[in-house]
Amino acid sequence: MKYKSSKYNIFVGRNKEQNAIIYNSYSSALISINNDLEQLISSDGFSVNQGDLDNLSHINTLLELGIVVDNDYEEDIAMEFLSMREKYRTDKQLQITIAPTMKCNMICPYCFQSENYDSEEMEYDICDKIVDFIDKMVINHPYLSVTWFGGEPLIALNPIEYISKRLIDICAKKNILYNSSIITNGYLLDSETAKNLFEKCAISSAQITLDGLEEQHDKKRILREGGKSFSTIINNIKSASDLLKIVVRVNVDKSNQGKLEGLIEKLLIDENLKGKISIGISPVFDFQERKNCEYNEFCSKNLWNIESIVAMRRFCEIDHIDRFCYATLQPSLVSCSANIFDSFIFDPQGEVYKCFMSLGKKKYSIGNIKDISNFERLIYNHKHKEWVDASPAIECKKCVYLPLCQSGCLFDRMQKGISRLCFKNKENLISILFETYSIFEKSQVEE
Amino acid sequence: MKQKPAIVIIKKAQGIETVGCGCLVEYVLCCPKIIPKG
Repeated sequence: MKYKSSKYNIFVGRNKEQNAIIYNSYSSALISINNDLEQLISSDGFSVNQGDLDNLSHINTLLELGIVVDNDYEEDIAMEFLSMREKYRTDKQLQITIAPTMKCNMICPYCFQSENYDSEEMEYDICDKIVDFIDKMVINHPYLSVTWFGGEPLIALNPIEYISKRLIDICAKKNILYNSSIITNGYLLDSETAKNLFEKCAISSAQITLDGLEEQHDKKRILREGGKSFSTIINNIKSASDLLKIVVRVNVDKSNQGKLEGLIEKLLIDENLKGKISIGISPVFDFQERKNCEYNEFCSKNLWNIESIVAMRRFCEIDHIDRFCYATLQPSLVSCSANIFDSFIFDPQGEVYKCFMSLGKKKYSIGNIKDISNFERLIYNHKHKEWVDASPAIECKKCVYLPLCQSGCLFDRMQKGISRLCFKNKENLISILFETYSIFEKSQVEE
Repeated sequence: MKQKPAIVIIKKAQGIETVGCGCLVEYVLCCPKIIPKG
């Protein structure tokens, strides 16, 4: 039997013993191997003597990890097939996102939805149309995933409760699992609301944004009617975390530079939320390249490279790495959910979108649910096809970063009319992987 | 002295999953659908 190293192996660096640290961008395995093994797998078509039981065992492990593959296995072709299948799978969830309002009680300067503040709450006829659509589409799926989004969804609790109740009933009758989450600024998520969401709407998780410690947060997460939000949100996170799985999102830019450690300490130690919440950090990059944007605190690549490592290190000193979220390390067979057939986003007026970023930009709507008597017209149309058809650029197909990048953000590519946006921040990926190794090594010493 | 194993697994291979947005960290101004697995 002949083998070769996976084409998706990324060399991360060497540890103190000079052993190679290797990450596989397809399987997401991260390992270190000794020099003999590194030498063995470095040539294409290598084989192992049947009597060499140690190396046979090692190669079996590396095969399981995806670090080594059969010599004639065409990984890029396999990935193309798997990507095609992924787009049309019905053995996974039907993924629905609903924005019951585009209004928001905050006016954050970096928000990409600022033009949508004045829209109305979703009316019941639209709610019913969405439920009918889901009722038909969910057949053959083992579960239904609903994400509540906005604007600020908690401003529009009535549509959330109404739709949730109907969908929970439908899923119970069809024996389909129901899973729901909410993306909220957390200001209105008091303990009673959290209880209602959990008990009446079967919402099990919430993503809440805190953009630094009190001073930085209150400057950036500005309440529409004035006043501060930080302490209210902290109290809400504390009470909601008894019921809901909470992910605290931190948007990183120049304004909270050097403050992430303090925020992590505040949440995990001072507020005693260690083990109860996850934290995910994300840089505020200029996605839309807005020329006349007043906001000028965008996160530079250098700033992100420093802040992400500092935050990860401090978090892992206090809590477990599994609760620190860093999205770039998640391989995918497609660009994002917009690239999948069975994924839809609804705005309050019944417009149907594929991408969160395009929400409210009618040009990117694939149709309006209230205008469609036959749902097939909504899903089998050229606009929907454009999102689902999109594939990585030919130049990207041999790239080691392809499973992590998939030629970049689909919406950004569409807006700019280009076929690929190259994975820009390779240094950060390597730094994060090396840090992950160091955290692991340190934990081994402590054990 | 205990010999170090030839392979140390820091992170196991995971099934490739598609949930949420894959464009998160590189390009996005406040893309909301982050951290799908929390």
